[in-house]
Amino acid sequence: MSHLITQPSQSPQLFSESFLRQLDQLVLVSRRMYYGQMPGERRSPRRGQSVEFADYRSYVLGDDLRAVDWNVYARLEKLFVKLFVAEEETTVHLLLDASRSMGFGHPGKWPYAVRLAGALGYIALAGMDRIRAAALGDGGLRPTPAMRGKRQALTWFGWLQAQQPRGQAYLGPMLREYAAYGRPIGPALVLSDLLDPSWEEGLAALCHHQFEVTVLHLLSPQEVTPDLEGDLKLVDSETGQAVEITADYDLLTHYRRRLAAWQEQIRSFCARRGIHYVFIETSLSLETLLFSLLRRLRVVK
Amino acid sequence: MSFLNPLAFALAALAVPIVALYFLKLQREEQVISSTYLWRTLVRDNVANAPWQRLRPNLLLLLQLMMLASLVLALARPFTWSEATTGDHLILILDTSASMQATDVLPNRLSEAAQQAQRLIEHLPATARVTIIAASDSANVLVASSTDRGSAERALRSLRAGAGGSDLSAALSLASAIAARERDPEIVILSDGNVTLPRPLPPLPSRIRYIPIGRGAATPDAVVPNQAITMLALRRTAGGQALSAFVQVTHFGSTPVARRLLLYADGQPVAARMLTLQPYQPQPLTFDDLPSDASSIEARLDGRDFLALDDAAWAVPPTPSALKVDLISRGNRFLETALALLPGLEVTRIAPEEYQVPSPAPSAVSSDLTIFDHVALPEELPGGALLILAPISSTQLFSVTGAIKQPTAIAARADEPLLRYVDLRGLQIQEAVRIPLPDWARAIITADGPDARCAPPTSASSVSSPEAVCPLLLVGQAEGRRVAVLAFDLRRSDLPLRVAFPVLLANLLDYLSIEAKAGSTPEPVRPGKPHRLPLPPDATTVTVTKPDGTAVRIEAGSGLVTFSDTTQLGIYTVEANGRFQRFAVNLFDVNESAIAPKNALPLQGAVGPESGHEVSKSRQEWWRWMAWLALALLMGEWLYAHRGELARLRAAIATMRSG
Repeated sequence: MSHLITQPSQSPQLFSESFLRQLDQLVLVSRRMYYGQMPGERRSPRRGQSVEFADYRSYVLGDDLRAVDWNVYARLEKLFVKLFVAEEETTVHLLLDASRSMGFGHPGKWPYAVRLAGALGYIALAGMDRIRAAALGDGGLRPTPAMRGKRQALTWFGWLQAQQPRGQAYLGPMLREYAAYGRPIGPALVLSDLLDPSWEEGLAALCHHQFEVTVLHLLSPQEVTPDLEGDLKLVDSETGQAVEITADYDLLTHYRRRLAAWQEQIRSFCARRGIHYVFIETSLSLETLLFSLLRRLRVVK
Repeated sequence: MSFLNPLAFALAALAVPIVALYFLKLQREEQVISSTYLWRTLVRDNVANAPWQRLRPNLLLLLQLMMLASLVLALARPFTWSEATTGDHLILILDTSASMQATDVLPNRLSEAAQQAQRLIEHLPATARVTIIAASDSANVLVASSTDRGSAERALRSLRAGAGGSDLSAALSLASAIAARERDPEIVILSDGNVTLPRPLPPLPSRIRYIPIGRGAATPDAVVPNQAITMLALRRTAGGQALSAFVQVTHFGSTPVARRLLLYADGQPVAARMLTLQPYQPQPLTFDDLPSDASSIEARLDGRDFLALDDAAWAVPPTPSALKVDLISRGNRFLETALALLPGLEVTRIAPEEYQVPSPAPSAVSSDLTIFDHVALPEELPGGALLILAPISSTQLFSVTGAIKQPTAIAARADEPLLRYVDLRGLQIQEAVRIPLPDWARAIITADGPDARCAPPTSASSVSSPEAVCPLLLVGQAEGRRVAVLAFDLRRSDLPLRVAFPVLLANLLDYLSIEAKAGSTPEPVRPGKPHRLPLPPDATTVTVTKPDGTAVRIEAGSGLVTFSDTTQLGIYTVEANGRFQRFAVNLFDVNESAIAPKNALPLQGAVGPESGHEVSKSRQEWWRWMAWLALALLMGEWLYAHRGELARLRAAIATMRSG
């Protein structure tokens, strides 16, 4: 399968103009409200300026007289201030597994993950949201500074294209680390093949820190249905560990069964913790994924 | 175990390259994949689930090494010594008598004997010659002094047990004649031991061995139960009106058994009887009132035993030959009408003046029965049975002492067989002849009436006896023939007008004609024995239809044909000039029906002085088995190596079928 290692795309053009215009139509769905730093387009737990009424409270000295509801005063001769829902930005966290295992597959998992992350990041930027991203691999976290506004899209795409799938990703410790300092908290999109024993620990850490986690589980067709045959020594691209197998019909049947069991394990884990789980085989086109599957699964709208 | 070609073990060195190749092959192709995360647990699961998983990669090597080992062993030609016949010439005598058809060893004893003979031949040295003799009533050389094992095998396979007996005399003299010319012959008898040996045994110029065949043949007192019909005879009764059969069933075994005996007339069941048979006690049975027009009677034991051959027997009813009757009479309408109505009679009426007593010479044509109807008896009575009605004068057999007026007829005994169905009540007799009862006779009907007392005859022996009563009908045996005397004239009584008359006449004729008919019962024919067919003198060709339906045409020479192909049991039909006759061939051989095998034959006397009893040995090679084993291992290795493809194929077929 070594021939399936794909080089990161050198093309500066990650998406076509028309595709970006289509992406403009989409909004990332967030089920929770988060406090933001800047005004934006999402409802916030704060009271502030918007057209959406939230509550009344008694007038106290110092309140803006413009906020007094004069109709109520006319009726009750008491001053009440009308409160509105604040609309703020939210910070979308894009966590991209950049371990070496992501560099496999045909179509490759890595280019797929880069384009998917790019598209999701663009959607967030276009939606007046702030994004923070991190590539998990090569022995550590490679975070980005926060980006905001459509104007940052090119920076975002450039950062993505600069990343390479290298080394090993310890999903558990790395995600825990990110969960600890990645502020302000918000929706977290994890793009990974989860081929690491500590994936549960990492996802649990994100949940623990109140991130609204969506797992985009990427596997190549070769990982779903291996095209192996004969007596083989399988070498792990990350750890270098070798497994000797005799790829016969029985073993491949066992593999498929094992894979299904593993997916079921992930799915039930995610269901228990309120994590959105999306399984993506990279043979699925990105357009279908974004405009059909993710919409149906209420990840975007 | 020893080896003919131990050098072949050097080929075991081929194991080294195989192992080396295997190690080379074990250098697995390396393939880098994204992650072994899923594979690791998978292989762990597999190892946990199948303890032999670790051995799996070595199984192919193991199979290949085993195959090599068996091939090398085969090439080394291992052999063992086995006890067998050696010598230059093996003379096999196979018993093909009826008892060899017993199925106590499957499929039957003869097949078992043929198998054992085949085994003996296989163990012979390649240069030794084989003679095979089939022995039943006669000896038949199937293979004569041949080294061709194929023809010997074919001859053994073509052996069929006949229905005949087993007389080993001919086979033994034949074998000794062949053995006399040889340097180191051995005679082997394969039989169940139910054979007839010549007495005394002729000295044989060879070693002789008896191999017993049959269930438990190796033990001294083997018991193989068998039931047999050992006799079936038919007899006509009552003037040819009815047929009766006599059957004898014998049980050869140690415990009593129950069998059902069925009787068929021309294939239709006519009688059945449940029998409880005691060991070695012939059980006689009589069946009366069988259909008289049956052309053949078959007796069959229902169910199965080890020998089916003797569970059936056939018989042909005796042909009712016409009874020659001379009627010496001046004319008696009643008598002539009654005689004409009885079947099987050839009546010649002769006037008393013309009657001449036939000469007693055997060549002369004499009648079976002579009836004197109220005429004077000649001085010399004719041969054959006599029926005398109302004698006029005394003869040498009895005396006439007067007349009785109007006697009343009374049966002398209530259960008299001659008076069966004869009603004498109210019988009117005008006058009867007074005949004192002679010594040789007994009274059937006696007279009662005022002057019905008879003076005893001259003999003093019967003074005080009740024979003082005069008989009206007396019968008896005098001078070697049967005689009946009716003491009154039919025309002077109303007997001829009564129903009793024809019945009484039939009974009397039956009684009188017993001897005449005894000779016409067909003689039983033994299987394999020639049978002489009596033919009409003008017959030129005869067609004999055998029990299995095949027909044989025979050119008849001089009115007598000898038919020898009587190996089948059953009814044979002989057709000559459109006339049919039948004869039956039955086993009826106690020697063959007693099928318990004997573990030894009294052969001691026959062993020639020069023959030793050392047990000779022969080599039995095993390389064929080794080669077969190698082939099986090769197939197993191939199947194992391609199990993946096979599994895929199976899955594909399963999906095709379900789809």
